[in-house]
Amino acid sequence: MSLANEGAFRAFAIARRPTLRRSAYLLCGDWHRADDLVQTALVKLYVAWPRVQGDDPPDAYVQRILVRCFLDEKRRPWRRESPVEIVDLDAAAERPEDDLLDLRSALARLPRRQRATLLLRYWLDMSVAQTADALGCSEGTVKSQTARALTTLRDLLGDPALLMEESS
Amino acid sequence: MTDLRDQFARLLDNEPEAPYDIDRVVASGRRARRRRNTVVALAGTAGAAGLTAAVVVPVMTLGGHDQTVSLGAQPPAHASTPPPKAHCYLIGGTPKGSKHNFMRLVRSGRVGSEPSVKTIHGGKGAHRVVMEVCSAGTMPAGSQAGADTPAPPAGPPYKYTDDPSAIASRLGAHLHDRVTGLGLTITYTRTFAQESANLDSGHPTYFDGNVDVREASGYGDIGVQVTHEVTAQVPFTGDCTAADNCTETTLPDGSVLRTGQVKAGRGDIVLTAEVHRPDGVVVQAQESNYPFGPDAGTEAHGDQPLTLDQLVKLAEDDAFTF
Repeated sequence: MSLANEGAFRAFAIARRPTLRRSAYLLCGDWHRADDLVQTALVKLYVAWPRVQGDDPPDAYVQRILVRCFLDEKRRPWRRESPVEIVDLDAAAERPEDDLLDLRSALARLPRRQRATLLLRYWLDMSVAQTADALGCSEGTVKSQTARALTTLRDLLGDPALLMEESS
Repeated sequence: MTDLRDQFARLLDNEPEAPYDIDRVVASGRRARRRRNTVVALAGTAGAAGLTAAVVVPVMTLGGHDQTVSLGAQPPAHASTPPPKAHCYLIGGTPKGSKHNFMRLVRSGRVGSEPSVKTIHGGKGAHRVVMEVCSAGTMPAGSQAGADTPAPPAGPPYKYTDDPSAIASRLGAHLHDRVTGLGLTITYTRTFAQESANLDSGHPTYFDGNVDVREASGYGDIGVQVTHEVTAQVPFTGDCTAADNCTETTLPDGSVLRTGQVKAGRGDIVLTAEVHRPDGVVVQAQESNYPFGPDAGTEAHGDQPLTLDQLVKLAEDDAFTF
């Protein structure tokens, strides 16, 4: 890769890494794994950079790489986080942000593909068509996965108002 | 209506500082491009037809399938470069532009200044060629067997001693025992995993896992990576320039120990102890004064959970191998 190309890649990666990292965290719920995912996605982007860079920054492309890296992790069945001990339950219960912990654990209970669908639709504001393209599935599948994911979240969080219009 | 996007955003309120910089990404990207374009497919695994890079060297005009020719080339200029191990590499693809890739391999010092080159597939006028380049003193595979016989991987071919998932479980259990044995309370475990259980060009990728621990002053994290020096994914091969307080020591058994510290920002400190053992196993033990798991960003920084001496002993632990 030429120095100019590499400079462009560096500028893009530095600018987008925070966004990618947050997306990765919402996918996996673990900052360490999020950093791994972003690193993997950016390395893949580096390899493809001469091909993908054009007039438009390849934001959607790298987000797609990131999501697919996350989905690919399912091929490594032993890579699963497992909380082994909860320390100081009373102190944890007093945390003002307990609802956030609930959301985090609720997201963790969603199947990977449903989690990815929610992220693309509601965090990255992708359309159904864009989400289908990113996940490599049909638009109908995106809609059904979204509806199932929201239903599950409503049940887990006890929040019937959660994006109710999506299911109507 | 409850806005899901707002709830997502609230989960990110206490985002910790990213623990790596862009140079590391670029360095990994360069390695990935080299692996993809240049070949360096350590034989026995890579399908020759799938190789994309190319090499044109004099041997193609001189030799057919079974000829071995020594090529002269300038060795790397670094006086400290160790003598190359007896390694063979496959280089293949279209001829155009390939001389550059071959010279890069030579300049890397991996095959010495006078490598042996043997055409495995193709030849003069062919659109695709595959060649085996061996460091001096190593006979190309075709000299000992038929030209269609896959060449051996560079270095001893690796075979898993156990199922990779069983190895991961063993390493994870050992880290758990070591950490709890020091009186620390584990609050979160990321089980040991690999990038891929498949051998990458004949060699395994690293295993890594980590645990968050709770101590009086807050949370911390302890992680271990285990790999082999032959793999292209040795995680920490720097010459100490990337770390503060870096030290390098040769231990009595010949192992090389490196320790260093990296400030990851906003009070985040990462300490590293890395041991390169004579058998090629590399163990990197790291600790941080902040957690990576579900408690990331929710607690004040703790002290480093281990002393540097304890971290070094963790990296020196012979049970971290596979």
